[in-house]
Amino acid sequence: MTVGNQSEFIRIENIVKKFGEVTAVNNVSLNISQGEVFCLLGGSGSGKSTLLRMLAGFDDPTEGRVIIDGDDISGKPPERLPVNMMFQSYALFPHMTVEKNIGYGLRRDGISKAETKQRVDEIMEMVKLSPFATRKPSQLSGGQRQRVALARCIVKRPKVLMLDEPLGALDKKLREETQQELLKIQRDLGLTFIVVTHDQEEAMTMADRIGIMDMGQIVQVGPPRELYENPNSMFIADFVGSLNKFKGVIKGQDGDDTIVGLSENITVKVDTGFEHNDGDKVMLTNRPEKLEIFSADSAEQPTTKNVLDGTVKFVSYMGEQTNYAVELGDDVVVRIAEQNHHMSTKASISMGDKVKVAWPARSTHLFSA
Amino acid sequence: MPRFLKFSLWAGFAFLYAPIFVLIGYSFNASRRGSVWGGFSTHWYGELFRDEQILNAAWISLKIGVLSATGATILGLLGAVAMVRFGKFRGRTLFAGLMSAPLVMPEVITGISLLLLFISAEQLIGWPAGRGLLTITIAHITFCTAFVLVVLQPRMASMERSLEEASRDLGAGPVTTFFLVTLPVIAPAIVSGWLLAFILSFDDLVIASFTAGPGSTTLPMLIFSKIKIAVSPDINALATIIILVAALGLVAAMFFSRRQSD
Repeated sequence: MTVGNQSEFIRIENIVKKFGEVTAVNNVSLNISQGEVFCLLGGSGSGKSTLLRMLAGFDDPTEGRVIIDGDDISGKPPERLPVNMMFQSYALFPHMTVEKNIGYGLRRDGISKAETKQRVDEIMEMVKLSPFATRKPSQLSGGQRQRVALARCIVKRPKVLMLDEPLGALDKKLREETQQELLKIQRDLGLTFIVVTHDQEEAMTMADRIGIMDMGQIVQVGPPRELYENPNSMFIADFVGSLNKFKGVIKGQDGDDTIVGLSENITVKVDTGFEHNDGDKVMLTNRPEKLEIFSADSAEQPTTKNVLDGTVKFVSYMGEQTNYAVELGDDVVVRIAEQNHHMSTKASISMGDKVKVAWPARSTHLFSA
Repeated sequence: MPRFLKFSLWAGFAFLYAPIFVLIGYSFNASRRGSVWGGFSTHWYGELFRDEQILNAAWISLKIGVLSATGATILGLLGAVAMVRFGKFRGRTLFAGLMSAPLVMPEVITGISLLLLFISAEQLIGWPAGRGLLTITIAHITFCTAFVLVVLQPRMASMERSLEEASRDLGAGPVTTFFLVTLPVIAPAIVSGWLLAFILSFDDLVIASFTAGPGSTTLPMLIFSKIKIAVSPDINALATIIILVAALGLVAAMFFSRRQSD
């Protein structure tokens, strides 16, 4: 039955969606493999929801086509597609009980009452909804509603399950729990997930691969680690995680290291494969947690290639980590995030202190300015 | 200040409801002369239920009310679906205007124009033959549809679109979705729209007068013709019953529209 290639379970080919003059999705091509959790990450208006709606059959693409498991789905109405969608608002039918909500899709497929009942009971057991079978959605908590929405989809054993901001409506504690439950169910049933979200944390923790969308296009696709460590553009670097950004000028080369001037008096060495000429203007970025801070008079001293002197402008204690803003002179301010392991000498660093900033040559990126 | 507000409240109530309470009071008047109090009696209620003419008119009004409320609800529902779900179709503004025109049209004009339509239609195609129950019902459907639309359209618009999409996604076609999801979700608004249409039809004098024929005298028409001669006490009793029914209908409509907001 399965005709399609495993790694091309879903094939999106040059898909374009225009609403009048506005191009919401602009020539997106993408392959998603069976059993993968793929996350579309982007801000509002990036086209991620439009893309999802086309995959679910709610909108027809203006150009291009989508092939799911060997079948071209273009032009087919949503009720004929082997995909199901978990809506952001859950979209539970308010006039039906939990049981009826979950069984709705099976009954529409012409499955007998007896078999529907059996399959609904199984799924309710699995997502721990059995005690609520005869309740209406209005009598459930947010987390329970979400499980009904999920159960209603997976009871149909879809080839692909789409999740629109699946954790958006839940509070922080419930999010982590739910996320683990979702991934467990995904693995147990071997489902393919396409998750749409604007929340990079949600994307990073759930996805096998992330596709970052901007202005209707996919800007970069890759596993979370790759996007975070090796962003291919300034946009991606800035979109995922927090970032230090500096304007700089290429000053020269020292072995493997490129020398970049951040101001008249501050230069740093950067070890990267970035193609450049002397005098090029660049943007230099790194992650606050890759930098280290040391008291100027501490016994422990940095060993990295770059060590810069500075003055602490700001300290904020966050519990698991402490964030510092340090001025290196010439109005260059760098942010540093330190894990709070134990009572170290760093705990005494406060505003106005003289410090040293350890700045590794790797894990710093250059982009053309 | 609160004392003044309380006074204003009661003055307002008095302004609105004093006439009705006077009428209810006089319906229990034993005296034959409407304006003189002759002691408490339920005599006129008994009289009322022995009056063939009134019972007959009430039956006609009830039939017309049920038929036209049902017809108007179906048309109003279709109109609401078109207005809310079909997006910006050509002529949408014109359609919206035409649908709600009867709200602001003077009843006399609606009445005359329908009368002219029925007469010319009869001459041209021989239908509807004469004026009577059918023509009144058609006329009532015409103006009640606008009111039903006013009730249904906001409910339809506020209904979460994703409910219908979820139904489609789970394998139901558009028609199944309409009957299994859309209709049950907006059911409370449909019930209150129907009740409103029924009350409007039951209450109507002007349009019914234009479109009625022999043997189709509605209750309001009968009352009006009776009080042209003299205000008889049995009419007070009848009015009291109508007020009671209308109040019950209103409470029911409110009950259903409250349920829909839950």
